[in-house]
Amino acid sequence: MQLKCMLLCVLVFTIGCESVKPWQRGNLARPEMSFAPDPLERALDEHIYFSKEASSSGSAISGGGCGCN
Amino acid sequence: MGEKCKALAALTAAAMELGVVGSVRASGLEDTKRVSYKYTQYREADLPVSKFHTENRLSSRSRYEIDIHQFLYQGPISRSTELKVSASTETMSGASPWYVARSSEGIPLQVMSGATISDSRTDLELALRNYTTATREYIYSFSYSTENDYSSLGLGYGFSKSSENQLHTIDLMANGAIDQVDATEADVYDRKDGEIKRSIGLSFGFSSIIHQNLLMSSSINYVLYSGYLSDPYKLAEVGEEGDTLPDSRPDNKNQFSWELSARRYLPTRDSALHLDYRFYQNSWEVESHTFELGWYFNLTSNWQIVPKVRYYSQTNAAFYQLFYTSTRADGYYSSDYRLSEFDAVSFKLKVNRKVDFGVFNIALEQYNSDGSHPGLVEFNRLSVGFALEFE
Repeated sequence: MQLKCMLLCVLVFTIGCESVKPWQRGNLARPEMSFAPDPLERALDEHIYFSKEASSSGSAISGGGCGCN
Repeated sequence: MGEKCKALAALTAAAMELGVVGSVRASGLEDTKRVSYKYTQYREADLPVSKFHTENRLSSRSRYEIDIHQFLYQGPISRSTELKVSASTETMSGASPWYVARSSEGIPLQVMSGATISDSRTDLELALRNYTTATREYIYSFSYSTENDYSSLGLGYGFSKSSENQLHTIDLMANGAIDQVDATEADVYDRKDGEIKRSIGLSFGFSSIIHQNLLMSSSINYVLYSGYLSDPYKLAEVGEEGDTLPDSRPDNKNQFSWELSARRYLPTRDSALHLDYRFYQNSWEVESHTFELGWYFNLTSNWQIVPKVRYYSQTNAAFYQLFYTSTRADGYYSSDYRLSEFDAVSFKLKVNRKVDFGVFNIALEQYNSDGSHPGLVEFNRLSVGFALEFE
């Protein structure tokens, strides 16, 4: 199931893309379109959820330490 | 900076902050420097009386309270290299779940530690991004954290390449860390001391501009942990007599995750929708799904509100039990609530106030979890901060 979703994702990424010219990317440049508009908030989110759940995101390997049990 | 450069830079910054995904800096290095600060109060709810085991006189229902300060600086140090420095400090106090005991009626109740636990943690991360061409970038990172009973040292290396038309980016990242656990009062409680944990991770990411109002990214991540992966402060009740044994887990763990993110701008409502999903599984047979939905709504040109909802669901680890009626052949025991099966929902509301030189923000989160373990956590979080930009 997960593999099918991933393959579908790749299809969307590659086939679904329009040829968006640089001068058409104004909306994409808006701060709220960032994947992480607030890097500090994102870092703390990952740290807290990692400390309270059994899962972690792919980028949560560095930094280590839990701070709390 | 022109609109064209802004668009490319925004895509770059957005993708980079995802971790491994999307490190396109298509237009090269920005001149802007950024300084950010955030203060957070994290407060866990007291354990309900109905789930609390009262027979241990030292045990406390008052759980963790943590105060966190975070700092971030990001700016160029040469024509092709950017430095990012982040640091954080945490001070914490409160009681922690110890083990699960059965009441005389056989109901699982949480035994807590005393509320005298006090600790502090400091974290430092450095990252250098070197832009060799308009479409190629190398990343070098270093991280170190230390607290009374734990220290961690990490290194990372990454590579990013975007297509000539700047529509697609691929990223590769490798990192590793070595941690040391030095449990407090190891002699008194026969806890582990000087134990080592190692981790090695690999990630592959892909991000794209789908159309002029839609960005998407995806990554697959693999991490191998080895060494001491148990919790030195937890016990498990084993046998009919209520004896306890130290938390003991396998000395290796492989984990895989797949992450998918989409950002959709809605021109008619002057807002952006954020959708994130993560599938996770590991060799301890924990499997989880995480969904997060956020709406960045611009009330005016200076005020923005951001409601978010996050749903998380996980299965329990293969060797986890609330308590063990008999010994296990493999010797693995853990009653840690974080290895139990549970669901969690969190709601967050954030307000951003934009000014000429940056943004000020305040955010509130409420996190609730639901499952059969009596020690599952509920917490709230209040954050205030700012992010400033200058040339």
